[in-house]
Amino acid sequence: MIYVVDVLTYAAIMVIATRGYMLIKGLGGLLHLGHAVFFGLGAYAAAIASQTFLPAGAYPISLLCGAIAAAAGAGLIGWPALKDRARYFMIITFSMQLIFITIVINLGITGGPDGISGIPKVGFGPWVLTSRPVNLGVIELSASSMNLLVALLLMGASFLFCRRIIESPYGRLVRATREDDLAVEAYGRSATNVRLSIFAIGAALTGIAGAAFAHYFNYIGPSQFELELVILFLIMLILGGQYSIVGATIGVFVTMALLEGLRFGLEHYALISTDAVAHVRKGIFSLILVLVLIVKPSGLVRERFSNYRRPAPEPGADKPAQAISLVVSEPAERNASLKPAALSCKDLHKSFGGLVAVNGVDLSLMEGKITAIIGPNGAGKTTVFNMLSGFVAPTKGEVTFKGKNIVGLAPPEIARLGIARTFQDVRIWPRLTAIENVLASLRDQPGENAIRLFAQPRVSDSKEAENIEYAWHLMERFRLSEKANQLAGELSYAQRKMLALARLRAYDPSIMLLDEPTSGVDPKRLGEFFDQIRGFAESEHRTICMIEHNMTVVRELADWVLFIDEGRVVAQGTSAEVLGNRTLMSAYLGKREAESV
Amino acid sequence: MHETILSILPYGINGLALGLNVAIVALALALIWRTVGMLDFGIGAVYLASAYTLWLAKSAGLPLVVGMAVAIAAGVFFSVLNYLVVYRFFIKRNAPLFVLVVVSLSLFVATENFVAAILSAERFYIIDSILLGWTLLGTRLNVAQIAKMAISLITLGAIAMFCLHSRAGLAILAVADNPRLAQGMGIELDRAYIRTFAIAGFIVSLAAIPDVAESGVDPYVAATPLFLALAAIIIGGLGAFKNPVRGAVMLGLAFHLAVWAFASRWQEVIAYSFVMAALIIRPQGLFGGVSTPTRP
Amino acid sequence: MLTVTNLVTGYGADPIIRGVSFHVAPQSILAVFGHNGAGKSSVVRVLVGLIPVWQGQILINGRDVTNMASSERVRSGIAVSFQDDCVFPSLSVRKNLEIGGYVLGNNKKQLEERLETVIQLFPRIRERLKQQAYSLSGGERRMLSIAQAMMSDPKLLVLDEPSTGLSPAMTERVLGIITTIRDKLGKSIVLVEQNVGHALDHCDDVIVLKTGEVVYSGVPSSLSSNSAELIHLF
Repeated sequence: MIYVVDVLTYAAIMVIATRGYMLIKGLGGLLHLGHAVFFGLGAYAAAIASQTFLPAGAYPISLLCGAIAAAAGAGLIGWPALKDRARYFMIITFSMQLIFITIVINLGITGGPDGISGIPKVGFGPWVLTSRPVNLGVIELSASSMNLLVALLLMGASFLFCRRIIESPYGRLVRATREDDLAVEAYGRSATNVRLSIFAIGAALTGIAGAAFAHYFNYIGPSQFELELVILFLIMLILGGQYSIVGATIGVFVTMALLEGLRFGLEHYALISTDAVAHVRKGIFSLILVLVLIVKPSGLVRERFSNYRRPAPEPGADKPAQAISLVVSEPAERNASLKPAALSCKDLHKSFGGLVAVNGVDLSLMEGKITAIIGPNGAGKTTVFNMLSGFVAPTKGEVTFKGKNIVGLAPPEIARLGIARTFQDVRIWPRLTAIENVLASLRDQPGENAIRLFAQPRVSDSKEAENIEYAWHLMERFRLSEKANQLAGELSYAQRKMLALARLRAYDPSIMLLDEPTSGVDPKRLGEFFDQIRGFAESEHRTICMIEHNMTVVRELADWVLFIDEGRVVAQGTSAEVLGNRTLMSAYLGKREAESV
Repeated sequence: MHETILSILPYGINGLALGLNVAIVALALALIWRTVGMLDFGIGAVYLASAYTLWLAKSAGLPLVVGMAVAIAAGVFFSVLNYLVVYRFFIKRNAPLFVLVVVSLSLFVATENFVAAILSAERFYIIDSILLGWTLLGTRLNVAQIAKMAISLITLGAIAMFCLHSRAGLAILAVADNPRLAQGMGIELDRAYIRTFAIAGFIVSLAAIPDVAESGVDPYVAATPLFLALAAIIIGGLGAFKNPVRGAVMLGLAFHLAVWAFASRWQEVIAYSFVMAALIIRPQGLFGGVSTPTRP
Repeated sequence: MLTVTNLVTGYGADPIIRGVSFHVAPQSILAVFGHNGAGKSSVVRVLVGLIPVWQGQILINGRDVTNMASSERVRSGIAVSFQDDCVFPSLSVRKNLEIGGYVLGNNKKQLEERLETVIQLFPRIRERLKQQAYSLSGGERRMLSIAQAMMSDPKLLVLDEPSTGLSPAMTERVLGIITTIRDKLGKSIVLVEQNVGHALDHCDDVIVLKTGEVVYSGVPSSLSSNSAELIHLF
């Protein structure tokens, strides 16, 4: 019976560590292969702290030490590994695993290959767990049951913590970064910071588990944190379902059951020598991992998506969705003709190696006006957008916004100034629901910051409720209410394009750069797009610039048209002027006068 | 000054020998990474298969040369087997990169443990007598070390020749460079993958054989070369196939020169710090150019 | 020579090509126009066998290649030049060409002869044989890509937007070579293009794609004479 209690205690501790893994891999999408390091860092930190400076009965502080050590480790590994778009992340985290063991074996303070023994048991203040049963008034618990109780309490606390993170705006942002980090940066957030933060948080949780383990087991040594532990964590994470906290729990208990069953079976029934038993066990459970990946790679529990409820409609009034736009950057001014350009660029150049993509482009975007950029493929249009939004640095030239040159600013910074864009290849976040795509883009989200989420819960929650209501209004405005709780990746192409517009609108930029907003959309549905884009410019006085190939769209929407060819503005004027220019259109669409061959 | 050179030399030579040996494993990993698009920890299992085959052959009384041939065959066989029986299943299902890597890691750990269970975890020696050696410039080199360096150099050269001058080798380079275009040229990916795994198995056994001939074999003998190969990839980068090779040589030298400069206890830590430093200063590898594995 | 009937295909759940039919006569150039998202690149990919056909049929000289894997397709005589990533950057120009001749098998002599024939089509290549492909300019890469496609002596050449990123002069040169390939070597060519201007001068037949369907099919002269109608099509 005590044996079962012990196994359950160990399982509870592993659940906490697996949840940490779930946050990193499932939520954050980071391909992390060195999870045993965080567990080990937590364990060693707790052990060393308890033996050096912590008084007896400082269990919670010891757990905190474990969390901090693991988080520090995450920062140390994560910062170089996550720069430059995480190319080697897998290899690096795996290597850290091996480096950790080597360091631990060689340092004196960690007890070398013999490890650290005599780690104090659980203790809170004056009360310390001993081998004598504990009288809790109502019942009397043995020491092992007491251990189990503490472990279960921690497990429960970790559940609440993880659930809060997952269901929060921060969790949503982490998932968005997992889906498409470029889009996240286009809407004002730093993908690297988000990844680093979830890496550290997952590590800290695991560090707490490691510390708990140290105090429970009272002995730790390097052999406990080797490759086999990495495999164990992987099984537990994957078997349960890496996108779910409940899954992490189930995964652990099923794995433990399997392991114990295996141990029992091998010891009593198989004709193997006792030396070999441990090895056979490890071998078999490695193969079990392969089996799980063959049979049920998504695990036992699937990802659950928050179902956002539509707010109850106001009694009577049928609100026109158009009227609900909470933030308009600049007040309407009727005589806008003498206003300076909202965004302009001068003499913009870009070469990629020997290829000159943009060869001196000047443009000025006026507030409340829609400018269309047309021209042949490869003429440099998207490159111009990339330079305006900071995704590509110009080789020469400047981009001016509100009098300041914004060349050199990173994309999130430029976005935060109020310049946002859509992408030619849409880039909505496929495994976020449609309404989550819109929510994730909204600017004012205190709950997006993990610290504020826990330090100012009421502020975060009430703002989130407001945001949800606003998001629903946007969904109605963009006629996507029916699909609000559906995964964005399952929407049709046209719906995704509309969602991209909704997401952009949610970000509320004063300058909107639309890269082929209607390409591939059924001509019958173009009208909806016209209404929305026109609304942005006329009712909301934003500055719109769009790259378009569809002349119907250009004629319908554009106040001003620029024709770019070979990286230069070859002609500009009203849409009637440019599209009516026979020579120009012939050149674009028909026979070209041979100038030089 | 003269003395310093003489005292450094043995470490330098050992470092070079280690570096070249690791370079082969790094090259095998790089080949699979760039063509198939996965990080193959199963190379460690292949290393073990080859090493233990050599020992089994020797125990069975076969002459060393025959044993080596059998060990090489075992390496090729095992590597291709990993692909045909395990990896291909996942690749056909478009499994994500993480899954492929985890599967290969599991194969490696399983192999280590089953070998330990079936054959025992002790170290077995292949060559019983003390090796012939010479003292050259104050360094003592034995046959195994010389053989190791020679084999490594010959192997690296042979692979380069094969890839550049044979149709099959060229197909592999094509798949590594641009898999979609390779398909557009009529190259069958499955066949190219089989050949890649075969080559990887071949060269890994050429790294394993001299190493275990010299130092003996136990179930954990593949871990260090595997890790050093990964470190070589981080340091050297993966843009061109010669990059991890250079990275490996630098790492080998660092490893042994660290011993010359500091206590041998710390050599691993120092070498790994070298890795971390390279990572922080130049994440794409010292020799530039990297690729996230893209699967066609 | 190439007959495509009622082709339907796409990625995931969305069809991108929704019932496309066209025909390429022997020794002729068919231009395929349409703007982004219309399905042009998908046509290239499905012809080469990189994406499977959901419905419909592809016949080459009467032979049904609809369900053939791409390596077999190439052996039946289709060669491709992609719009981007069109060469093997880390390999030399010579090696790039050799790979183009992969389906010719192990016959070294035949490969060398083929290499010589192709170099004569693209004389500038001879000086650059030893150069690595990544160091070539955009136009040179495009030429190499087409030369590479010609190495297998295909019956049908599929070119995906060969004028992308090229100056008008370079585009004219490339299109001129394509015309020569039709005239002197008797090949059939599917020319996918977004820049209608240049291509119209060099093709025999035209189809225009819009959201996955053929909205126009005819001869180039009728297309260029009416720019107003043209604008509508796009």
